Amino acid sequence: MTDPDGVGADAASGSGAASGGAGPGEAARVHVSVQGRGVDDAVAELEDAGLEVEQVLDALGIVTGRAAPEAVERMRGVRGVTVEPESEVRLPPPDAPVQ
Amino acid sequence: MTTSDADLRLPEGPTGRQIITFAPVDADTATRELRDVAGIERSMPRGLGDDPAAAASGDLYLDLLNIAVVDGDGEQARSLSRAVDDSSSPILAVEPEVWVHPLDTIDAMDAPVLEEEDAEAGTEDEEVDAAEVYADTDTYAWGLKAVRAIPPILSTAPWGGTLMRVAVLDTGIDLDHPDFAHRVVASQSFVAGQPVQDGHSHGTHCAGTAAGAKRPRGTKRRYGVAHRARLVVGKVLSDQGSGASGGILAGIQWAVQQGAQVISMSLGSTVAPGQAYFAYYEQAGQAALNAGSLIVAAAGNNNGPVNAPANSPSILAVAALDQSLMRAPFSCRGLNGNGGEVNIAAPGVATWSSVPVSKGSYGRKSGTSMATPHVAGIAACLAQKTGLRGRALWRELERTAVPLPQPAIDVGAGLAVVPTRRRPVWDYEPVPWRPGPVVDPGEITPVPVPRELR
Repeated sequence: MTDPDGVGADAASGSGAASGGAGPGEAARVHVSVQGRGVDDAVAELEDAGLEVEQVLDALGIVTGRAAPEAVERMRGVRGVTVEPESEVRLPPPDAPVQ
Repeated sequence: MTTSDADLRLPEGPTGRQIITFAPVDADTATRELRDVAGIERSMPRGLGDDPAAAASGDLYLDLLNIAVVDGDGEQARSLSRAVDDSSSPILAVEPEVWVHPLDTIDAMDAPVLEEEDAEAGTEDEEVDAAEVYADTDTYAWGLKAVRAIPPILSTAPWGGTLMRVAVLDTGIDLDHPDFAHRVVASQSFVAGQPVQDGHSHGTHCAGTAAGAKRPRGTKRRYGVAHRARLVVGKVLSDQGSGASGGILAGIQWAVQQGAQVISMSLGSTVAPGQAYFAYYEQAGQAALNAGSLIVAAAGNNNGPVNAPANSPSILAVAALDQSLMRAPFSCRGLNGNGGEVNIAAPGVATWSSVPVSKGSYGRKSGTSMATPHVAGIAACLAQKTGLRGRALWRELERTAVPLPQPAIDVGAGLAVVPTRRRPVWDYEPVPWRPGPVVDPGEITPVPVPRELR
């Protein structure tokens, strides 16, 4: 689970879905996991690739932001990053039988 | 006494006759012994003779069995009994004869009583099973007993998570709930436009199970595992119960920065069979472990593969158990490998805990969401006791888990439990031995234990 290549392989399937949520050319929220290099180091390259950075979680090595599908394609070329779409979490209502 | 067939009511108990068992000696020796020891001088029929029914009354010597049956008064019986201890005497045993009844007769005779006894026996059987089924009591929620936060007999649970920080990333908390006064050391909302104040009740319930007070203000029933831990509350789910992974990631980072040893996340999104974990949750889990924060997350309630983020290899997935410590039917299973395993299990059915004051202060909820904060509280107690953090704390949690009869795909390493210690002997107050009726002995001074022995 510390193998960057293994995670990168997983991410390849995830990033395919990155552009699925939004229409063509429309920016969607993405999370970029950075491995093997400093986050600050990678942020500049990600911005160049078209990522609108929203938050830099330096303690986790994750950058969140918005990116159009073309930008996601470009970001995938950045060394040591994994691009995935944001996912939704939804709890059942407070009185549901199972929480 | 000897004409039982004439009696309408069947007699019970001793008949008044004695049954004397001899070592293998001939009948003459046995008769002589009876005369010498007890002064019984009667010629006894040997064997059953012509009238077997006569064996029911009078004296009898059963030569094939070396057993004599005699009418004997108390003095004779006592003399015979003394001979049993005399090694030179062939008398082995002297026992009173008793009335014997066929069982169906007793049934017919005592039918109503027996029915009652049967009913009692039935409940007793159920109670034997019930001993393994947990239930809430006046003083604790059942989950606390199951995870030993309420320690078993002869044990203490001295670790309540003192100085540990438990982060609960959920719908926030009711900051005005009296049970959480001075317990929340940090709180932060990651939901735009909504304060930390819990408008849902899920977050207050989970925080209560993880770290609720030992003596709640509004109830006698304790419901919190790590009752001395500090709460770090991040609101990552809205009052409507929804959230996005970006806010969750931000909450994880914040909790790590707040120095939380344990991060409890009773949230998730469903995962398809064969689907891999999210790299960003795994990245966050690894970063948290490296920083000494263990993330525990709910396995999920759709009876399918373990949900995300619990399916990340670096995030501990928690299954829910019912009151019999069996996997709850909704609890997700370790159907996907590669991190999608169930790691540990905890109570998660009809869990009693706190809810916002506006919703009644206390209530029950079911789900892996309720199992997760049990484990978070246990992890805080273990972290306090052992000093272990991150991956080492994860291993210690799994190592100390109690194995369960169900497979690891359902319950992982088993039931998570808080560390307990044997109760020291000086914890017990001396209790006088009381013969007969209970008499109040008055004040009793305990024997002081020398300080150097404590």
